[in-house]
This record gives sequence, structure tokens and C-alpha cells, in this order.
Amino acid sequence: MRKNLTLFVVMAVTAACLTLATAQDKGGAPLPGAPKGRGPGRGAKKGPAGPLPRLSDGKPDLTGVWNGFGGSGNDAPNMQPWAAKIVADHRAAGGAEDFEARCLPGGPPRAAPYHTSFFATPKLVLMLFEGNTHMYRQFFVDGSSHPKDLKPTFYGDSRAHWNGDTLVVDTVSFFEKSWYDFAGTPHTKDMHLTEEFHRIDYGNMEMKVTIEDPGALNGPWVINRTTTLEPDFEMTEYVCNENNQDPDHLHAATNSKESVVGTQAKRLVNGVPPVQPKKAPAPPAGPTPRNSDTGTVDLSGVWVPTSTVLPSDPSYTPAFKKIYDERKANKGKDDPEKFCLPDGAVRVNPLPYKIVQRSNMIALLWEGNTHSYRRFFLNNRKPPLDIEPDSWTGLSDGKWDGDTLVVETVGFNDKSWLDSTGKPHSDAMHLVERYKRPDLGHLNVELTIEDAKAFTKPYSFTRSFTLAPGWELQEYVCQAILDGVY
Amino acid sequence: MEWMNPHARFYVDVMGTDGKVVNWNFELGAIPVLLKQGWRKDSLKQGDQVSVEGTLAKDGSKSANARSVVLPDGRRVFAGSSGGNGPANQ
Repeated sequence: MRKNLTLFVVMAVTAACLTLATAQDKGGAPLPGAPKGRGPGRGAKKGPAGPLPRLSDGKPDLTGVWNGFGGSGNDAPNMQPWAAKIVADHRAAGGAEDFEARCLPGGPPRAAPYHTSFFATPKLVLMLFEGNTHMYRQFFVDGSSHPKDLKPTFYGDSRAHWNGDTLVVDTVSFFEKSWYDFAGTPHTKDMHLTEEFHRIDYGNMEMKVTIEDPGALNGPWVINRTTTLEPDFEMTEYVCNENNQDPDHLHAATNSKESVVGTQAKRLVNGVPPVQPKKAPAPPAGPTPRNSDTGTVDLSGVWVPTSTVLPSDPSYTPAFKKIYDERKANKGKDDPEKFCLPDGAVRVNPLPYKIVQRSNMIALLWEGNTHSYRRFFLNNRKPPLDIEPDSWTGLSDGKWDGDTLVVETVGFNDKSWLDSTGKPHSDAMHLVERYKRPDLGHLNVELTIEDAKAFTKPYSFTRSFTLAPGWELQEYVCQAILDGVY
Repeated sequence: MEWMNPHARFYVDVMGTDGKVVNWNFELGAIPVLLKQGWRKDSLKQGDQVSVEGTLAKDGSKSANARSVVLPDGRRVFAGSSGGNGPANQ
């Protein structure tokens, strides 16, 4: 019933608010049945030449920005009848129930058409996604096994080991409802995923995916994929739920009561409630750890903020004082965090944070809010402001000043709140953070914010974190709570 | 222009043959995909005249998934949207 139309009409662009979308729109996903091959986000067919980079322990270094993984497209799963019926139903509905169209994680091994950044250290490899959800996976390469009593999650629990130059990632404990591919092939909680990442040279990587699920498949489903390095392009901050007009328009395309669409009635119209943090353990005593090779301070660890409210108010211009007063009078009803939008670079959530450190880049991950990340580039790169002039968390460059990591961040939008009381800022915000680890158990960050549009003078304060030994970040998918999907 | 994810959108006043102006909602692709095709946040400005080829919404509303856009400078660019696989109807 799809109509096609060619419009050749003189038009004048204007800003209005229509809220209609096509049922075909799927949050960036190709449609089921779309032509196979390398789509617009897939990058070059052949990556740049050069030798395979290696980590200090001699293992391949997977670090880099990679294009969306392209599938071979010719390996179909051998599904059990109940699973095949679900896939047929999804196809008949045009994929309207797809999680990705609702900004919920697709779940591995689904390959989005966007970039993925690998961030590798000898004991931990991070997979940082540009989209559909701007989240991360952690592959522990430390000899550990899957913990017992795992809670099912969208991304599962991943433990990895090296087989020669191939990183073998073993993942279990998946949330049953998620869509791990575009067809919506169902899976059970016993699904077992093995991903084998093999960086062949500087610019090319192969990936072999094996899905075993005796409750849904008649045998292992093996998929071979390739990707290429994107040396000249940086990942953007993809905030899927910022302007997603699809969910309200996909109802008509499905009648399934068990679908995500069916759960839209459970949506929390007032937003997600504040998280209840666990009590942080007492920070351990000991000297400041240092990188054994370079001697620089090692900021790595899982950190818990000691306070989430800022100690004072910025000195606001009258216009921004008015914005702040309005937000306070509104008692947080329009708090972006309640609707799963990013906290930005200044605001902290009570759930833990994690720092992972390389010599040329530092990753700051957070458990709560958007379950996302910031990256601090230490390699004197020029911030690509032409591609991302206004993001929630900005573009961050870092450098060491003795034992202090100085991070300078620009490229903000004006949408995030500086804390839960609604302190505003403008898109002219310029943030400088000075990270200091005076001993093993403490991290102090001195923040100085200049904002010529919003503040009459720079605003400075210090935030403290304590180390939480033995803690690990848990998966937190705000959108799934907001939509009542669990 | 709404330069936001999951897909950018732009809104256009279209004057029909009857002289009436109707506002249309055109959906583009995701920002990362658009960026790689050369789109930028300021590629379309208020007051620009553009031509759009796209796929209509099923519900008959004044919205469409853009397939290609002819920019004010005459460049014809792929819109990066999922509607890009629709059959051409020139």
C-alpha cells in the first residue's frame, strides 16, 4: 500500500511542529527485505593499509573507529517452527515492533549502520557504540568467568580470551525480548553468543558470530562479517530518543498484545523515578597508582560521586536566572534525565562511573542515566566542531599537567542541566576539569565553567569520588524502564 | 531543520496549484549517515528553496521519507533515509 510521489515544488523551509512519520521509519535501521550490500554507513569496502597495531602485551590492539559491520547476508538461521512464525509475523507487520525504532538496544550481535569504536587495554576491551543506542559493552579479558546468578540484560555478560590473534568473546544472560537482528529472530534466555574479532591489519577486521540457542534454533547460526577502519572520521554523540517521532505512529502496524507496542500503555508518563544508589564501600587506603611504563597517574577504577548537587549557584545573567527560577518552580517535571536524555558533562548521577585509561585516550563510562560514555583525547587532535557543533556531552581534549589530568570540553548544546535542580547553561559553555587522584581511594575533580551568555563570572567547584573496589558497572537502560518493557 | 537523532527532519511550506500553503514534514537519515554524505547542521537554512523526492507516509499525513533533496546550490543529495530503497517514480 506504499505510495510514491515525486515532489518538485518550490518550498520555503520553516520551523513547525508536525508529528507524523511513516510507518516505514525504523530509527536508522534498514527495512526487512532491504537490498543487501554496503549501505551508506558502511564505509569503504577495503580499509587503509598498514601493519596490525599491538598492545603492550603483544596482543592485537583493536582500538579505532570502525564502520558498521557488513554481513555476508547469505547465512539464514535454521529456526524452530515457533521462532519462524514470529519472524514471519514481524515481516508481515513491516518490522513495526522493532526495539530499535523505540531507541531500545538492539542487543548483540546486531550490527547498526553507525560507527563502533573499540577501546582496548590488555585486561579490558570496550566496544563503544555510536548508535542506535550510544552505549557500550565491556569484554573482560582478565581470565574471569561469567558470574553466577546473572540478571538477563540487553547486552549480556561478556568474558573474552585470545586465540592467537583472534579475540573470542563469550556472552550469556540475554534479555529474552530484545531484537538481536533486523528480522526480530526470537531467542531464549539460554542463548549463547560467541563473537570472534580478528583485526587482520591496520584497516580491516573480520568478525565471526556464532549463535547457539537450543530453544529457538535447530543448530548453531554462524554469520561472517567484515568492517573497515574509519581513520578520518570521529564518532558522533547519537542520542536516539532526542527526537524520535516513530513510536506513536507504529501502533497501527501491529496488533500484537505481547509486543513492545503493546507495552506502550505502561509508559511512565511522568518519567523514570530517581535511582536508589547502593551505599558505597569505604575507600581503600594506599598510594596513588601509576602506569608502570609511562609513570603517569592511573585514574582507572569504578568511582562513586560523594554528592550530586552542586555546592553553590552560578552567578547568572537575568535571562538565565529566569530559566533557572522557572525550572525550580516546575519542581523537576521537565527534567531531561527523567525522560532518558543525557545528563551532559557536568551533572552526575548517584550510580557509579568507571575510568578506563590508555596513553592516548581516556574513557569515562557511567552506569546510570544514558549508560553512555565520554572520551578524553590526549593526542592533540583538533576537535571536529564542524561535524558536531552542539552535543550534550561536548568534545573533550585532555593533557597531563604533572599529576593532574586537565580536560577541556567545548561543543555543547544548551539542553542539559548542570544538576538535578535545573541549573541552566548556554551553548557557549566552556568546561575545564582537573582530575587529581591524591591516593588510591579518592578522585577529586575541579570544574571551572565559563559561559559568557549565561554566567556573569566563571563558576568553579570541586567534586569528589571514592573508589569502589570490587564493584562493576551494571546495565541500566533508562528507555526500557520509561517504556515499561521489563 | 531539526538536526537531531534518530533521524533529522525538515519542515517545508509547499504552495499547491490552488495557491494554498501546506506544511510538510520530511524525514532524512540519521546524523552520522548524513554527515558522511556531506550534510551539515546548516546545510538547509530558513528561507531556502529545495526540491524533495520521497515516499509518502502510509497514513496520508503531510509527511514523507525523503529520498533525495536538491539543495539551493543545485546539488542533488541522497537523504540517507530508510525510504531510499523505495522505487523511483520520476
